[in-house]
Amino acid sequence: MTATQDIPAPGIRDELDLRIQAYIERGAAPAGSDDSGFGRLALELFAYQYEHNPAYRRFCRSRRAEPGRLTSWEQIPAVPLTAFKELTLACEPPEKAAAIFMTSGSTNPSQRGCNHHPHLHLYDASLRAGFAHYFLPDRERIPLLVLNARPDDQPHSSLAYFFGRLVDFFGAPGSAYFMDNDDLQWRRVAAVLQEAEAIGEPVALLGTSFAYVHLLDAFEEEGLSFRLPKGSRLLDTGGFKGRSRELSAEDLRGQFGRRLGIPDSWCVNYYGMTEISTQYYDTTLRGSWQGIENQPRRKAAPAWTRIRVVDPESGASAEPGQRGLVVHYDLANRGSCLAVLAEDIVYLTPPDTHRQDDTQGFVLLGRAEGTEARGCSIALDEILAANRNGSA
Amino acid sequence: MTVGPEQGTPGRISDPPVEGPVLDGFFLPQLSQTELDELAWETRSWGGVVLRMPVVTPHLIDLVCQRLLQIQADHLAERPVMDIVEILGRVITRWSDPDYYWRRQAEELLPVVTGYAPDMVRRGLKDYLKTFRRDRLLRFLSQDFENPLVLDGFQPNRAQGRSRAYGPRLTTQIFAGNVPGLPVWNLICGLLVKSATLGKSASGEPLFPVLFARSIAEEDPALAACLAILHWPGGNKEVERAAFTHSEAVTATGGRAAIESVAARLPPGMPFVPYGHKVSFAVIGREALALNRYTETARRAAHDASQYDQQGCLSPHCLFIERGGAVDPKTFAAALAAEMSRFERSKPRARLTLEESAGIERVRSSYEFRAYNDDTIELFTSDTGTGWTVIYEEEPERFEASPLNRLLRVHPVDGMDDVERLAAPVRRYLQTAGVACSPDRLDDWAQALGRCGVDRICAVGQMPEPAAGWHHDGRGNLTALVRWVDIEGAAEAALEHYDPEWTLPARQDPARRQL
Repeated sequence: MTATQDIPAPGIRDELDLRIQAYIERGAAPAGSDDSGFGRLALELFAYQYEHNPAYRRFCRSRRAEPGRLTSWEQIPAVPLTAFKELTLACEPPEKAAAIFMTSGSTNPSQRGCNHHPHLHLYDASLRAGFAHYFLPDRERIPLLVLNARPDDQPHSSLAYFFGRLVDFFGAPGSAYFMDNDDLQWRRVAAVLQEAEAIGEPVALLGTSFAYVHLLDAFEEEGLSFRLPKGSRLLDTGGFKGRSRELSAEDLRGQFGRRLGIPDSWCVNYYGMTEISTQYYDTTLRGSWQGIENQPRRKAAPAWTRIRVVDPESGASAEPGQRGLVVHYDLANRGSCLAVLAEDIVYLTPPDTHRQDDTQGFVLLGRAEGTEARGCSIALDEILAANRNGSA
Repeated sequence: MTVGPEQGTPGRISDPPVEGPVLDGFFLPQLSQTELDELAWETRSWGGVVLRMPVVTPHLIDLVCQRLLQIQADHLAERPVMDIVEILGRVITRWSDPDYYWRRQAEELLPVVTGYAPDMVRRGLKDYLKTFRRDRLLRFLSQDFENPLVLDGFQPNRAQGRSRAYGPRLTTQIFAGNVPGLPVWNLICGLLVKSATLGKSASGEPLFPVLFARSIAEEDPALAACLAILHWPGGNKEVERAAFTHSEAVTATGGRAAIESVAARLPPGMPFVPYGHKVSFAVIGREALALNRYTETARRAAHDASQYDQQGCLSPHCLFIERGGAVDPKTFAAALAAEMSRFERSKPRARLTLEESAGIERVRSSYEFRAYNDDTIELFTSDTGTGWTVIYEEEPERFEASPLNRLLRVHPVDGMDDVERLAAPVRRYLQTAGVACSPDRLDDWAQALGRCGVDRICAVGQMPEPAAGWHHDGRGNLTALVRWVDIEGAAEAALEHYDPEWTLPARQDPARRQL
């Protein structure tokens, strides 16, 4: 795989974009005591999005929020995920977008959420800074083995784009994709891992959690296991969505250790979604690289983002340790809305005073699925299924 | 944020430290104090009400079931059904007294356990228990049995013979916890057919069946001794296998997953009465939208949707409003919103889990965004929080289930044809239809609703309070439990043949002859 580094993404950029990009390129670690930069940029970007994104403006007006009246980034109205499905949340003409990333629509294929990106400079800056800080702090490049489709095959997948850009920016020779039309080419993966084992060069695997389950199942069936060289690492993301058997994150990492020989702290999970432009990584790899072992697993919000945890009833912020829904404030989410209310349940971890470069940490508990109704009233999915069968 | 464990998922987050008195969350009059002392115990808090419960093992179930079967044989099997009606009637009369000890306990504790508003629990229990008064129990019996004395002995039947109905000696009953009081109905069904009950209380609300059983014990200890109420984690295979082995029937109220799981583990041939997921709705005719009626109609509909936070299978998921009334359906939706708000002020909805709140927000925001470019949609919501939601939607794609907790869709229709079309795909889940229309249209509407698949038609405003003896989920609830034994008419005639008078050798009566 040849790395095509720094191909400029097309699209519109203005002076604010350049300032945000410079802010992101300072790195994921927070900039010491000077924290006012984020808030200023967030309010400026909000003003821009309010002005250029008519659907978002209407949303803000119904909540009596407009640029002049807000005094802090916490007051920026966060759009719920349904907005990306029901509305066109774009600050620039959608037909001129450099990329439109769409959700998989696993729950309702006819309704996919869309995030419009007029350009991908900030998206790229964000993914570079996060990946370098949390997953590759120790080297410039590494062979990236991608258990996912090539970006060209899935032009609307933010995941495929993300992995593809990582290969562009960080992939050493030997980087390759191992998914062909939903078919995981595990024999090729095995061959590459054997070679890495033989020559003692570390590799990095990237993929979705369910792709790894298929890989591990195939290896188990064939009785294959590896002791990958020190420095090898693994990145996984997402749930299982019914596409493989379900495993807990702990079980999965246990198997990564046994089958691949990758230590627990070098198995990194990240949390990302189509509707935002930043990935949140486990801090374990970076901690281990800094000599801190056995730290509790949590995810970090890099400097150009903030996480707020809210009670959906009152809208109030939750204290560290209290569960709530996560609100993302992401300066890289330039094309639509920087503040997004997700349907994931998280809690904030108290700041770690021992760490110089500590960022805001949180623990992801899972998705706030529609719970089955109490008692004898019908479950939503049951009636959905009945409707679907009835109209078929 | 504190997320109360009270809403159906107790124990999901760590309960607060135990404080206050520890109450009995079980009913086991069959066991002696010594035997109780030997059990393993656990305490758990429901929103602050701390309950003590034995740890249920297959061994404990074996013991309790053996006792129940013995007591049923000794004290219940041959007891006249009218006797049972008398006693239960007396128990219900006691409950009608606002100062009755167990009632005061229930009114004090259930709002804490469930999170429901105290006024709503008080009113709901009163209305519900009323349906089990002595006269209602008689109606309940006669709804299912032409002659209720078939429960006591062989009674003439239409086929010239005689029949008797035997209830199960022991029924395992898996209770629901969504609506306080519901298990009373299961307990009474069991007793009327002379079955002992091993009751599994629900984790959402484990207390009320215990309080009710204790009130029966005060009136008639022998009758109450035919009831045992325990709690174990649903789906515990060893415990439930033991329970099913001793039982002659099983009833279960709950969600699809729970009911399918029970059904899959029943011994072959076991009579099973499931009360599964159901949806209800209401149809409001143009007559109920008259200028001097529509506010009242809205108030009644708001009551139906708000009582027990819409958790019951009797609660409407949506309203169909007929066009052509004095006020249009959108105006009615606004009036309904005002009444929902009024109900919320006097009887606030229970606290929700994060997941439940998020579910309501998801539905709300989806409609909010659709309304931006669509005049046929309007959203009415509580000012803060997710207290209540009314969604006016003129062209629904289909019959959508509400995420409950006082979220109601309102759809204008041109008539019953529209209702039938929308309800058709969900017909096997339909239960109650509330109606508000002129009396002369009731028959036509009932025909249409019956075709749709509903099994109860009632007035708007009375949806949460079914009449005694309603064929719950379209069945005879007592007849579903009994086993019939028929003596054939021809047999009685044929047996005449063996009358000893005809078969013994002719005896002589010398004395008489000599007269």
